[in-house]
Amino acid sequence: MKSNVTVTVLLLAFLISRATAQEPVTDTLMLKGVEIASEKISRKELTSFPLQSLSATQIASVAGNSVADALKTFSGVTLRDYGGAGGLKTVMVRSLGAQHTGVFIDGAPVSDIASGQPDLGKFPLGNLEEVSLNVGVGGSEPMPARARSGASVINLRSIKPDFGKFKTRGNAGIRGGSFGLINPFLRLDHKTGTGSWFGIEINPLFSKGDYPYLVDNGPAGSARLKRGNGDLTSLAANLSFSAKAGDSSEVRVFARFYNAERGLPGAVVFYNPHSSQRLTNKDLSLGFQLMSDSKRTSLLTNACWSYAWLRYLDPDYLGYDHSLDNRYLQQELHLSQAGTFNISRHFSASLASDFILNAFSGSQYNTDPWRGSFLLSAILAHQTRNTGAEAGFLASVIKDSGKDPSEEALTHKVSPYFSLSVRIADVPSLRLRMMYKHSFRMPAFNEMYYALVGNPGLLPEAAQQLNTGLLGSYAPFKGLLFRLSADAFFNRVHEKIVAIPTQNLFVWSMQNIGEVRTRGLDIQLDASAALGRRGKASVNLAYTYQEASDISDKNSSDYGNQIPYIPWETFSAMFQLVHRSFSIDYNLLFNGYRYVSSENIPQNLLPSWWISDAGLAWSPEAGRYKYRIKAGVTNLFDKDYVVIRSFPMPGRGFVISGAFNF
Amino acid sequence: MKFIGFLAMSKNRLSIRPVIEPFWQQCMVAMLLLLIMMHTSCRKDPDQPRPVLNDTTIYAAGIYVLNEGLFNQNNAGLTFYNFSDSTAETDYFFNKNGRGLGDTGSDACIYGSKLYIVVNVSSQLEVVDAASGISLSRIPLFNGSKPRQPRKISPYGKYIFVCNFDNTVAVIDTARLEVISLIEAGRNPDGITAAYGKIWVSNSGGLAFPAYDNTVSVIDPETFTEVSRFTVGINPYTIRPDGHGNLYLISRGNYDDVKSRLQVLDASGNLVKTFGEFEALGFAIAGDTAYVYNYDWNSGKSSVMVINTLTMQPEDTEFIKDGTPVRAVYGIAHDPATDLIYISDALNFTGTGRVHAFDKAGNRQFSFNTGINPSGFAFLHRMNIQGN
Repeated sequence: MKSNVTVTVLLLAFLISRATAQEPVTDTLMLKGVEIASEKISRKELTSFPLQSLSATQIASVAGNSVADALKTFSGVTLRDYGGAGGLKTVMVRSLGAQHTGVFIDGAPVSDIASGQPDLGKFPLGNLEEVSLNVGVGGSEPMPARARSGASVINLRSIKPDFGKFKTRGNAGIRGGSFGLINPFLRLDHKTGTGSWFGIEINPLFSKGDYPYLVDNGPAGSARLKRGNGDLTSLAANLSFSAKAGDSSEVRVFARFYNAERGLPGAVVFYNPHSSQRLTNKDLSLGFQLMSDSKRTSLLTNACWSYAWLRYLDPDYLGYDHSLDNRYLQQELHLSQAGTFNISRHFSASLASDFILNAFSGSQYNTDPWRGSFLLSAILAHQTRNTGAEAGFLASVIKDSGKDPSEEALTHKVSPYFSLSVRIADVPSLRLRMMYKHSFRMPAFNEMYYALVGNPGLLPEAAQQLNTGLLGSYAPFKGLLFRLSADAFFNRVHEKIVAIPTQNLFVWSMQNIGEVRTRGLDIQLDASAALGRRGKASVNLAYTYQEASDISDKNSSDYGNQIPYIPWETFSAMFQLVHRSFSIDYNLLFNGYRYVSSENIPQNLLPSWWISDAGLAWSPEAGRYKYRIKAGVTNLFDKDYVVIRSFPMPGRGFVISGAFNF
Repeated sequence: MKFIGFLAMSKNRLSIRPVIEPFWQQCMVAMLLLLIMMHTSCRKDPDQPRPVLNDTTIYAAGIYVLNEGLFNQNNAGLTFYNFSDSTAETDYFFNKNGRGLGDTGSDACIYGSKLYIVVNVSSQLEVVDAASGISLSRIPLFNGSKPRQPRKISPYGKYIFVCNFDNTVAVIDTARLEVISLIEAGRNPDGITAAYGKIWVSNSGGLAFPAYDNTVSVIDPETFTEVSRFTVGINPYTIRPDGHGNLYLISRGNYDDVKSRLQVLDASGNLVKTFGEFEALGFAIAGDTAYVYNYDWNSGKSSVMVINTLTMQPEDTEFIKDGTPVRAVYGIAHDPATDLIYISDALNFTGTGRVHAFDKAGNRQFSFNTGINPSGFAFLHRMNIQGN
């Protein structure tokens, strides 16, 4: 690892010295607050770190209720999904635990200090302009230091209203489908002045979640049952107000609200289908953002307060009161100032400093813990037509309330980041890229403080990522475009937080005992072709191969085995055909076999699966109005499969949606 | 309708496909079940476990090891070690019956010709023909639709007593194979034994931590009522008689400042002794010796020590004499037919486990692999086998 870093540094130094003599930049990477479509494509093609994104049309072709369904089409992503609309959904990027990936909506963070990663099922897919995954979190645009602190970051960007000559724009519609799904949605943007507007978004969702599933219990015990207690009622709502202040500044205030009440169907237990546990969420975030752009500087100020209340109720718990009613409250204050300064034609510096305060109280915790974090990130970027290089670091100082006096009171770390890319050829365009990143994730509060299970003495889990790849694009003639990216990656996780049983098998505790080494390959191939004047066909393929070896204990029989729930192979394909106002989508997802434990034996094997979704949409335009009617089938071939053992996924389902844009 | 179909189907071990059967087929199934039950009721179960020591006609035929599996993974399993060819077959129950035991096996015993297996999270009592491994019946233990969560089992007379986490003890008739009575006990009972003409139930209160229970309920097996309740340490667990009028039990404490201890209760309910100098998680009694094991979760060290039940004094702090490595001791049992002590090792608690057989001098005789978290033992003796 060390020698790899040295090589990277040397290469970087060499390339910087070489590149300073180059011609002025034409395809600048400086991304301002507003981007135009062509620049976005170039961003994806030019980055020295792996960046994947889905555009609004691609998002529209994804079948599903939440952003988790969009993210699973990315390469390197392993989705953890407990099934149904109400099932918890998180993602692991390149075999790193879900807590290593940050989630940002319009530049503001969403987090969950208790579990480490928010439930991605909370974020509806509609009204998003872009879903992207940035591995390594490079890029010289201003962003909070916190975004740079993760091994990767998921960015969700809402649609910016295009008022044209109208004062009010928006859309309204409804989706309905199998397993009792009803999902009306409304978005309204109203112009309140020359540069200011007010936006409101409401997205209620009801799902019965009573899908049939297979109890896979051998030739004599298998049966088909319906999932019980899988209902979800949720409301996601956003309010925002944006105003241009002066020529180059924009202020945005927002309130984000999420309220949900759901049943937890629980694991499928042979011979015992009973389940009655309930989960209630009440989340609120209030935020303030100030963006300003000038020739030399771009600034981004973020202030956000969020509140998340959770109630877990088990009415049939066999404890003292014959029910279990746990309530948890977490609050977070996040302040961030970020700025990018164009030092010279080629050089820019991106600085950010964040302060985060997390407070938590819960009925299963012995204390009311808090955490204060101060993060400082600095990235120096150098960009020419032929080369791009970034080098930087993140410094963190973190104080946890629950540490023993004997332990070090503060966690402080400096995590380096380097990346570079070099243009090899113009036609076809070919670039080489390389990235190294060190990052760590703090233990989540459940891991530290949850009754019996928690271990306040946990250390951060560190991750090192090394990526080398090739990016190419080729347009043999007008209207046909191929894009390819192929990356080899090498990850190393130190002091991985692993649950091991203590006291008895019902009481597990967290220890920093894991070591993981991952070697993998990510390949993406996109092709799009214009078909006549009003038609278009596109194909997006993503393939990942990864070997994530458990190297915690040389003497263990599991040494070198694949870690739990990471398949060796994943593959996704999105096909889209558009002709006039009709479009057909077909999406395919493959997850190879994997094991539920580091003991790679047949009893722990989960079989591979192929899932297909298909959709047909009709979206005519009439002046300012646009309609869209879509009929879709999820899990077209009605495949029985599980992502998490004992949590079956839904079989074939139908969704019909109608939307009206005005 | 689908659900009814499923239940009927699962009881019918002869049906091999998960189909929803029409009504007439369900009737056939019911009749078949009746036939099976009548057949089983013809066999007379003995009133007491058979005497086995020094009986030359009795010898060990096999060992059933119950693998607890992991919570919510439906991987409780049965390993069968066959003495005739010295091989162990994990997934024995599945191989014989074409279906799994379910979720979290918590106890097993052989009584008469039958092997009884308690499956905790699936909330079932599986009744198996001990000689063939074929299931005779699966008895659901539910309160309406709510699982009772059975934990531990003890035979007595014509009955099997099963303590359930829902504060009850279920009485199962060994001939009819059905629950004939439910007895209220303390909170979350997690240990049961038949001794001195009574049924002793340790009430853990473990699901109400930190407000643990600390009592042992005494049940009259004739009237099916709780006759007294005695105070012991908090969170009591395994309880077994020593044959000298006392009962040994583990009080698991609170996993914090109150440690897990071995205690001795006399038959009139007096707490005679608490072994305060060492921690203990489980034990087995053979003759006048208790073999007590502990696994220290902090240091990851396993130990098995020897205690004389007559003097109630530790005799040896290390039972294993030949250095056999045991990483995470998880269960212990004594087979009177072979006079061997069996110790199970859960290793890393998530994968293949192992069982070692020791002679009384603490020397390993043989070992075999098991499923995940081997915890319970039931010994099959040749006398029980018709033909084979």
